[in-house]
Amino acid sequence: MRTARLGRVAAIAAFAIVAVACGGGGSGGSGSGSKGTISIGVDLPESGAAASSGLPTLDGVKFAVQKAGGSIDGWTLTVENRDDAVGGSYNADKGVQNVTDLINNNNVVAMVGPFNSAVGKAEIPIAAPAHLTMISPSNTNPCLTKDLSSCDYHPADLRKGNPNNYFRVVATDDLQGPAMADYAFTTLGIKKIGILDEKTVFGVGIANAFQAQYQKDGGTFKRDSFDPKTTTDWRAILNGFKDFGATAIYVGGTDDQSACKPRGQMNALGIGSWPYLGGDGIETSQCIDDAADSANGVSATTAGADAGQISSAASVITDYKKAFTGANDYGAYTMSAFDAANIEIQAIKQALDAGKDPKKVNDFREAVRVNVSKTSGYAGVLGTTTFDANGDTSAKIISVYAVKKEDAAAVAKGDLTCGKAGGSNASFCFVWVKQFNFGA
Amino acid sequence: MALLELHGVDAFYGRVQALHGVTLEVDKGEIVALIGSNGAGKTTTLRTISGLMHPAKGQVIFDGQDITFTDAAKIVQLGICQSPEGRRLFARMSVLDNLLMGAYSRSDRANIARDLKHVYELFPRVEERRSQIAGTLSGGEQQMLAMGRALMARPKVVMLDEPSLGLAPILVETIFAVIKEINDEGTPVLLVEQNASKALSVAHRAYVLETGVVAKEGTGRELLESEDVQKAYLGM
Amino acid sequence: MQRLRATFAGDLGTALFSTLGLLAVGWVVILAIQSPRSLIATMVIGITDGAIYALIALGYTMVYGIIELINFAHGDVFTLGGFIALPLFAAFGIGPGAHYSLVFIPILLLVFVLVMLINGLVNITIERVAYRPLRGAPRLAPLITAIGMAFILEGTMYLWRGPVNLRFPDLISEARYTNSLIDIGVKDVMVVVVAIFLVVMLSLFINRTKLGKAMRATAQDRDAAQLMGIDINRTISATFFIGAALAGAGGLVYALYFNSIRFDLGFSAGLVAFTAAVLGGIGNIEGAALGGLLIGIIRALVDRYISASWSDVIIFAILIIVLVFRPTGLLGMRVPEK
Repeated sequence: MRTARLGRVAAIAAFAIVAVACGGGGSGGSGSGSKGTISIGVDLPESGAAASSGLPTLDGVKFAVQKAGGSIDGWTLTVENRDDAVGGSYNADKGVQNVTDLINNNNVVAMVGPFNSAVGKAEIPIAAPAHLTMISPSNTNPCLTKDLSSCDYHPADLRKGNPNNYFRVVATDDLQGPAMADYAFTTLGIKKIGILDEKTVFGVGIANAFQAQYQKDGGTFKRDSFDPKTTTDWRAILNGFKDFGATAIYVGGTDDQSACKPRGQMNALGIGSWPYLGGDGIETSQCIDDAADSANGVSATTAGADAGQISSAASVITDYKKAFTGANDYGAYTMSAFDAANIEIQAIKQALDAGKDPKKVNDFREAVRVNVSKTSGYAGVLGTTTFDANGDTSAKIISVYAVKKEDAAAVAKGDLTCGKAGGSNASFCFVWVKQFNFGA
Repeated sequence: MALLELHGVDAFYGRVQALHGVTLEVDKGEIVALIGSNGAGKTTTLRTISGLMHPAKGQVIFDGQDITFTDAAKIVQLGICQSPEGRRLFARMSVLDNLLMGAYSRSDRANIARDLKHVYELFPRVEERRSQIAGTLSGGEQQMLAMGRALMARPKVVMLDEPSLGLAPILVETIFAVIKEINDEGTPVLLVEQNASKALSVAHRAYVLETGVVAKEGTGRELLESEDVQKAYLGM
Repeated sequence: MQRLRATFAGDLGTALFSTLGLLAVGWVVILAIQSPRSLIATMVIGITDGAIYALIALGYTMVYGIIELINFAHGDVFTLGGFIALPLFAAFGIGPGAHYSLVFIPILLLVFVLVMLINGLVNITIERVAYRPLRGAPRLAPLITAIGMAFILEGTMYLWRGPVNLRFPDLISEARYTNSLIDIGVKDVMVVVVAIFLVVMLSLFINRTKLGKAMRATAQDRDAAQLMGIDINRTISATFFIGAALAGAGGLVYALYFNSIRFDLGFSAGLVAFTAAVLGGIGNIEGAALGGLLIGIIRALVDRYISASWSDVIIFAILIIVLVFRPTGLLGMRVPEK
């Protein structure tokens, strides 16, 4: 996946460790009156540099368990947590080991995770035969659920003939291009655009998706691609767009493949005020830096809703911040994880209500999986979730962010993606402007 | 003491020993020939003197100074100059620039100009071609240029490696005539040649090298008349 | 047989070159008729890029010429030029936010000289430490050291200034001359003038001075050069110095032109410049300049009129055609060694 909002929480690793210490709560045990323990497994990258991704997400699950009062129908409810980071970044092998571990734990009836799509790809084949429900709060790679020709693997192969056990509460990357196309054509009113990619699978794919929707909307375009290994000057390409009559550029790609360097050369051609649009691969500090004196006007999409923009979420977030008081306890995926855990808690309750016995773990896991797959119209913090047959959510929300100059206080708060500290664009940040719901 | 002396020099290429205790000398006014078959160590001897390689054992003394481990560039400044085997001209530079490179270690402009004129006198063909690119010269012209280039250093000893190799007989005569002329002007010559009869007929003294060992030495005439030498090197 | 092949390759090569050349010229003429303004703008981009590539390519070609080493670190030496300039500007009180003023011109010239000097000394040190001890070693050893040196330079620049795009002061006037046909900036002229000046100076140095000639002699035959009394180490050091001075000037020109520089710029710029050196004939100074200019212009034309996705395909197809028929490159050494 493109770990969409990662940049926003990237700098906060150190403090997040505290959250683990505070969170506690692994061994509720069967106190007096408890019928036993039911656990929700969690697999996220929680150590080193990756801790800033995993720990606030883990806290979302813990918050859901807290809100449920730590029990369901007389059963003690706990979180069984595993870390899939090795050397500070996610590791698919470690993830497989963790899931195997969770499957062997008879208290674990479902899990939340993983964080990264590459880990999901490795874990689904292990969890599916055990009928262990997985709900990812953050995987955005469409290939995990959709059978697309552009994918190099397919969901049916991952499941190995077992019924679907994998769900997610975020939208997929393949909607980012279409969302930006609508934004460009309708919201910004751009009728002619230059489309650029940097020849990677991700870049070409997202640019193709943009192009198809933009064409459908009625726009015309000129397409080009460059090789980041040999390109140092984009001016001739940009002049081509200019002569074509474009008034904006969409770039499919990531900052590490020079996707934002063309932006830095636009001012010299007198087109520095054009909108410069892209996917979450450019929603980064690096991109703001590369844009040089034209940072203003860069816009990017990410898959998923911005919890800060949903009014119904505000009270939940306030409650959460009371319970988890660390400066960096709240992350971009905390509320996704909260919704994911609550969907599982609801499914567990339904299974208990139907008279299923958690001690017969295989039957109970299957019952939970069936209940999760039937989730329909679940009113969560981030919207209403209905899972389709693939395991994707009906709340297909794509957020659009635009670079704007922010004041020092907003930059210092640390929950915006801004230019690198000390750089000349340090006060330029991606700010939420709009969201598209493709589920509606 | 002679001008140039080698004492018991051992030299190696990697682990292969090319010279075994070579001892020889060249004195003022002499033409000394070094003859022997392919691989006998003739070129190695010259490379050792020039400082392109250094001996594992033994000493090289020049003008009373130990130059065994002196750098090649420094040795040129001291006054030993070599016209290497295969001429080794700077093929993409002009004839004139090649000659000037020969005078690289000198800074006495007036004398360089005089020496240049002298080289042109020795080799009128070289003068005719002075602005041509060296690589485009004929074999004979290249040999003349290589010798002229060596003389431009105004050496105290000049070493010529196979100057007649691959040349037409008439040119061989010219080359040897010039060698004699250089020597008559007072420059000692250490001459490496496969054309042993030619070499021995102009040499005052000569050494025969066999597989890295000095097998015989004597005056040019003595060796020309030696039966062994006649059999082995003169094809008689 | 060899002669036959050479003749064949020569005739066919010449025929192919002239056909391709005519096609290219025809194409450019059509473009000129369609929109002269657009063509001129594209050529300006191509020539300015080409001039910068040329300044880098010269160092590749000189070092290869003298010690047959592909100095992979050279692209990063180019970037280093821009990096060194920043603290120098700061020392003269010019911060990244400074804007063009005539007062800065003498400082700018001084910084140019200092950058070339410092960059040259750095490169001499690199040669002394990383390449010279390996001079007798198998070819692969110095090649790997050169790659290692590239990583070390990039890593050092990363640690020094971080991954940010360093903003450069706006020291060159943004003024442009514009009419219905031409649109050219002072910056464009600056790049070309600096490049031409340096190439002419280099050419004079190489062909007219004693040290320059000694460098050529060493490149052609190292042993023979030693037998002339040429100090090889000194000559090689001089080569590294000049290569780095030119690349450093190139890095500074690039940074002044685009107003930004980043630690990893040398990778792509170096790759293109190395290709330019091979196209022009590695070891050949005029060839490196020509190769750089050609690649800059071809890339701009293809980017603008065909598609940037074809740029590398077309550039490398041309490179392969040239090398197949003229393995030593466009202006490669064609004088036979007898």
